[in-house]
Parts: sequence; structure tokens; C-alpha cells
Amino acid sequence: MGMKVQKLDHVVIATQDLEDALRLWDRNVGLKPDASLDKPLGAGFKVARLPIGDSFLELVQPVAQEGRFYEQVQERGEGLFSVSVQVGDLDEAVAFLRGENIKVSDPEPSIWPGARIARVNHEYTHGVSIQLIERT
Amino acid sequence: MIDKIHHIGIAVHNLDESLKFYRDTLGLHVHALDTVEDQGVRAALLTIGESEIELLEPTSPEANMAKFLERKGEGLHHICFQTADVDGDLEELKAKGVDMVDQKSRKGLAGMICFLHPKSSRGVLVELATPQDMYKSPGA
Repeated sequence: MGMKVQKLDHVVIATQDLEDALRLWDRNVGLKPDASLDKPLGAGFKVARLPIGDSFLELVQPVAQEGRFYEQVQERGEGLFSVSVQVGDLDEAVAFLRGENIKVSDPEPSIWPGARIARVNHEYTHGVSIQLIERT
Repeated sequence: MIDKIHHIGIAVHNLDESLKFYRDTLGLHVHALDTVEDQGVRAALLTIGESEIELLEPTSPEANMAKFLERKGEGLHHICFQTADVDGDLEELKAKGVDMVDQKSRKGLAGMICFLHPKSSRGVLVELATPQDMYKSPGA
């Protein structure tokens, strides 16, 4: 029973100072950003990805003084922000969760190429922002 | 040097309730369920790819986890990275002047562990762990 979650795709960490956060993650645990990755277009934030094992950390700093991400970082402060879990078939996963009466956003393209996402409402996840991600 | 994300720790009020979502709905396999008295938590470890989700419920109102829940509510609590040499990494961090919660490694659910102070990582509570089967005590 239940869904088929393949792995922990990535963990999002909110920061107010991306440069300083990059320095600290390198100093503390030796993680470095993957420079080969394209930056998302038109987003109101600065972002870096730090690969680790079969997953990665995504450090995100809001730059625009508006938008959902900016407001959430203002409210919650710096730190662990959300987790993305990979599923094989996003539409199937969303349909399954809705069948369990769990609120999930409609699947949408990620701001990064090659992925689609949907967000699980945090009142069902014990306070964790969980994003389902399908990589194509 | 770290190898992978060992687990993500999530603070919950009621472990059995949270298992209904993480085990029954997400379908994650519970591979350990244990109470760690000296840390004041009852915990479940669920496999997700090569990492784990750790659900943590306080065992008493005085437990640190209970204070966290009171202050911040349920949600993401810490991230743990696996390393082959927690003691060596800890000494290196101390030598760099990094603020630590633990000055020495200690036994935790994930093996021999230590925590960095959250202000060392701009608000993220970071744990390092060497699983027991990989651990060689210093000087052994």
C-alpha cells in the first residue's frame, strides 16, 4: 500500500546570505556548489545546488522583496525549509494522495528544466513542506 | 568527509500519528523503532532511497524535543550526514573554531554522533554520524 517514493531528491535550505552560507557548508562538511547547473530563469531568488550522495542541498536566498518564498523566509527564518521526494509518476502520486483525502497542488513544471512538481499541504505532513518531484 | 545524507530529522507530537502519513501513505519502510531515554525521544527510522527519515517524539515535557515543539511546532528539526570518521571530523571542526553542541562524539540512534551548533550553519541544526558497524574508536 501507499505511494512509491524512489528517493530523497533534495533538501531546500533558506538563507539570507547565499555567499556566507556557501562558505559555511564548505567549511563544515566540505560541500561545494555544482557550477555546471543552469540557473533558473526569472526567479526572485539566488540559488546554489550542493550535490551529496544521490541527493543534493539547495541553498536559496530570496532577492525580490515579495512572493511566496520571500514571505515564508521572513516568517520562518533561515534554516531547513522543505524536502523534495522523487516519484516515478507524478500524476499517479497526486491522484493517490487525493484519494486519501490529502490536499496536493496541481502538478506544474519546475522552474528547473526536466522536472515537474506538486506540493503536499503541510497540515497533512506534520509541519514539513514536502514537494513531490518527477524527473523526465 | 561526508558520504551522503544519513537522515532528515522531523519533530512530531505523536509518533504513531505521524507514521500514518510517512509509513502508510508515503509507503516508506520502517526499519527501526526505538526509545532513546537519555535523549528523551521515541524515534522511527524510515528508508528513503539511500537516506532515511527520522520521526522524533519527545518522551517527556522536559525533553529538548518537547521544548523545540513548543517553540516552533512540528516540522523539520535537523539534517544528519554520514561520515566514516566522526571523531576526526569533530576534531577538525573544533580546530577551525566551529561552534559545536557536542565536544565529544556520543552514541545516538544513527551510530556515533555529534551535533554542530545551528548558528554554525545559519540556522540549520547539523548532525554528523558514523554508523556503529563503520566506527573505529580513537586509539583503538
